[in-house]
Amino acid sequence: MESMTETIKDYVKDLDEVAIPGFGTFAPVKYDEQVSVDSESGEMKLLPPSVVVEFKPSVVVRKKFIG
Amino acid sequence: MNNKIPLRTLAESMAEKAGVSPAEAQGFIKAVFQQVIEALYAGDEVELDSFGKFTTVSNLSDPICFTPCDELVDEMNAPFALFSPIEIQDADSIDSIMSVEHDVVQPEVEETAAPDDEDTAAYEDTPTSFETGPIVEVYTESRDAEVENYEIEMPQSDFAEKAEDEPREEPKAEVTLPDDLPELPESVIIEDAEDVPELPEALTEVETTEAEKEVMPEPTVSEPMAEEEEQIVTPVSQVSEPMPAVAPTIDYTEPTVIPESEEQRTDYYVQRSSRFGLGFVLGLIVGLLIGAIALACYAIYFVNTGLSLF
Repeated sequence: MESMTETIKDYVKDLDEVAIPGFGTFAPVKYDEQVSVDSESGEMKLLPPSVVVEFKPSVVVRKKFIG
Repeated sequence: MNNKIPLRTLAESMAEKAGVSPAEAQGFIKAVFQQVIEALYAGDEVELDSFGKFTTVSNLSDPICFTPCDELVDEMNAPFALFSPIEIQDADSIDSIMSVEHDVVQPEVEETAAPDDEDTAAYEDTPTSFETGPIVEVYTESRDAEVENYEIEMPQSDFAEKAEDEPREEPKAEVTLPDDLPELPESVIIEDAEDVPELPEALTEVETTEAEKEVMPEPTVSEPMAEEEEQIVTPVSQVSEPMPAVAPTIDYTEPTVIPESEEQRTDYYVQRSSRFGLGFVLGLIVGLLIGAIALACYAIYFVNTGLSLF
């Protein structure tokens, strides 16, 4: 079990997408540096680059949850 | 990176780690995620140890929400751990920050490198004696004070290493490296998405990939590129290595790779052209034969007069 999570994590850290049929895809996305504006205070910040894992469920799963 | 890993590859890697067969690994992976789906369907949330949490969401197009665990988030963002958000005081500075960073990517850096003539003169005259002083000055002149924080947070020893590596590659690089030098750390850190994950490793590796991309702009196959990287890391990492050792290793795979593929390509094209010519001639003959037969049939069956045959 741990080896499975470890291998998925290794691929994700290398910015590779991992696709599991019938379940979904783990896709790491890199966001470049950007300026964010706080809507309330009007504060502007320069955010450093970051990498985020996006999970996209497969069609099968989406259909199951709709029905 | 930026590869799509199918289940088979994942299972193979997992099988190596766990010491099971790839088929077993595949079955295991499928079973685990099947269970996750069932649990989510039942309304529970599923947490996988040191991986993340799956929860259900009412959004129909994206019913499952995955939150990676903190450990994974930290590991993924390790290359950027040196940075933190910086407050910007006024809107005008944003344009100057963003535009300068775009300039960083291009090799022509004269505009943004150093508005001061003194600094550029210093680089050209004494390429080996880079200090942190002039480089930091360049950044403060060309950008706002807030962005200087990026430079300051970098480990200072990196500049010393760069100073010793860069001059060696000067004579043979196609791009003017002395001008590139002040921008190199920034481009490595901020702009170059590919090199950033390598930052925690030896910094020389990153430099070599940068240098390689500059030295060899030709698009080689990814395998020879990886081979060259491995070859070059060892000589460059020894700082006292003399120049000639670097030059042959950078070029060596180039002549062997390209002619091979060229030969294969020409052979292939020759085959195709000869086959095409042959097919064309054959088709022509067959067409003519059919036409001749059709004419003969017409003459025989439809011309009633002057023939004793039918």
